[in-house]
Amino acid sequence: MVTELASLTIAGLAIGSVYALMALAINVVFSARRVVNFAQGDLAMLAGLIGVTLISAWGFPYFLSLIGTAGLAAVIALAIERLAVRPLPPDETNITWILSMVAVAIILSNASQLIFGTDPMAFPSLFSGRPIEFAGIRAAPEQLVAIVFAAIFMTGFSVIQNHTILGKAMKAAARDPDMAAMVGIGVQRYIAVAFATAGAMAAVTSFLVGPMTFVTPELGFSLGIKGFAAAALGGLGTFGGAVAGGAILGLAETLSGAYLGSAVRDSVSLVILCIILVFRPTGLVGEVRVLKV
Amino acid sequence: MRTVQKIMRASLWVLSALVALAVAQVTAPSTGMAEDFTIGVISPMTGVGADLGIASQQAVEPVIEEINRAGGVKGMQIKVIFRDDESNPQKGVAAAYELLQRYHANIIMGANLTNVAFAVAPIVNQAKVPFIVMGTGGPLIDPQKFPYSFRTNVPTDLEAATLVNYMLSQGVGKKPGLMVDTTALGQAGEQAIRKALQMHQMEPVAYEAFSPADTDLTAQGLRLQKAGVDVLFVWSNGTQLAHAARSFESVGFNPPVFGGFGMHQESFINLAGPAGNKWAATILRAFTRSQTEPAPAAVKAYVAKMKQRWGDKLTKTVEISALWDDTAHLVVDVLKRATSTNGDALKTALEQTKGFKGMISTYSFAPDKHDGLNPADITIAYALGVVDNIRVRVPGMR
Repeated sequence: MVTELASLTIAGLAIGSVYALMALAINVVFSARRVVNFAQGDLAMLAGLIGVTLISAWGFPYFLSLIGTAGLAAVIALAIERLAVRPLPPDETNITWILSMVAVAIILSNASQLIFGTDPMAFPSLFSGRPIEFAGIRAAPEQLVAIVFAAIFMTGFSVIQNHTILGKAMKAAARDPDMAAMVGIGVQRYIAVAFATAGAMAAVTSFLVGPMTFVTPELGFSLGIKGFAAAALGGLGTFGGAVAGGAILGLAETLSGAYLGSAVRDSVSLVILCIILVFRPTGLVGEVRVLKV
Repeated sequence: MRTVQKIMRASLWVLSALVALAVAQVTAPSTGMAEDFTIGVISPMTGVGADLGIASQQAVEPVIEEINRAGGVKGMQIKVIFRDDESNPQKGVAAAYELLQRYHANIIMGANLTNVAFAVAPIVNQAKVPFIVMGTGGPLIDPQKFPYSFRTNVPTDLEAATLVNYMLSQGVGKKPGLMVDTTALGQAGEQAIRKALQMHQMEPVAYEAFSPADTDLTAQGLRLQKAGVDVLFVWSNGTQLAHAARSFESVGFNPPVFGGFGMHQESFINLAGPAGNKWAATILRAFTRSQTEPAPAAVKAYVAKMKQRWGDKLTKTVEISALWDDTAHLVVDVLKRATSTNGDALKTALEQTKGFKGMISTYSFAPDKHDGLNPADITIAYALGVVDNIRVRVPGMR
């Protein structure tokens, strides 16, 4: 019972780490531009399809394919910023950017189906299929790698955001672009950097999730939704929150699937999301702003 | 107010007329005077069953081209219209209505996926058009409930009996587990396996279900392992089974696994990897070979012919193409014998089919027997054991 629970916890944390990486990428963009990139899931899916094509069909080495895919995904993300975000007029209701990002997600999904077809593709793994076993607890190597990567990215982004000029400039650009520009911050440049980073992260995420789930054009929607849910659960714009949100969602999904049945796994994780947001509308570690009147 | 009432009344009349027209189109029998004979094919060209749809198209097109080149049947050219059900029951229903209403199909074939077949069967039967169903789910064939449905594919009950008999005769395991998806296919498989085990006074020692959307089946694997399962029966489509194989491998759960026809889908072959090495499923005997003996010459010839026609695009599930090839030839034979092209005449001719020789089987039907395959037509082969497009049987099966 204990070893089963421990194995399931690792599986939950692994899938949660994937959601956390999605949430981190969403937060990077949100920190710089105050828009939620609803296309992040489809960008990761597209990166996965590009990656699997490079490795399996064209025979490129794994790490070279990862670098190439990350570069290509960064360019696509920059194009999204240039074509679908930057031209948008200021909108107090937020409707224009929401529609724009949803449209981009749909375009990426349709383009992927046209280019790569609809069949699922097996993503090559660096590891043999054999599990790692310790004291009766079993885990796939891919699961452990996903957890380690999420931790590294969270730490890296937190350090960059709080202790570097780049991070502070990004925050300033998001909070008050006009004021940031007045003090010499190249607002557009920082926003572009944020989108490119999110694109590269989409590639990393796809290389981590691919061996666990296969890659299909449908993967984008579920990754995008779960990534946004993890970001909202943790608190939009907070990197620690993204990882906490991803871990909670992943664990809730895996454990509820295991003990309550497959039919309820998605419902349970989304109910948890709703409950937390009712009591903590800014998320678990989101900053609470006091409005003085 | 009166104007609104008038508009409402007029709208109701128009709506009623449209409904009546639609019903009349669906239920009206064909006149038997058609210039062309139309075969409607509902197949999954995309989605989880895409390989099955592609296999159907690769088989049926050349057969009908050949028949038409030779002058058709009774002076009629045969027209085949393929519709993609996208592996989705709703899309299958839309395809059925389109084939019946717009193209006045004389006969409908396909619906390879059991859940799609269950959705389509009532519509085609209501239209009194013969439906040669490819879905394997047992209850799809019931001459009382679906008098116009016939099947040339493997029925689930027969698959389950073959698998359980093999498990017992070869002593493969003593503690069987059962894992199925929550679709109509999985449920049909569950019923059939339970029934086959009960025939030998056995029950599964553990049972697990999963949703088709699940990609992580670690929990199911751990529980089956904990229950001491030493042989596992599974029922689902290729992609879901590949997820299961990979999840089980990640927790070191590696018993012999047996399943239905879905395991032989191209998606399982492409996605499972070494995790699927011990997975085996029922298959059409004619398209199998033993580890040592070569495949029958006729089978090799068919594969070569298909390779010549389709090249690299040839499906890996060429036995499904052979099944469709048989079915297309059966329809042509039925058309030759039928007194007219209306649904009832075609149904009668189908029921009078005796000893129709195809590549997969010698098919016979009767008014109370709408399943064409025989127990001897089925065997078990490893899902990943494919040599030159021909499956390799598990040891002990002939």
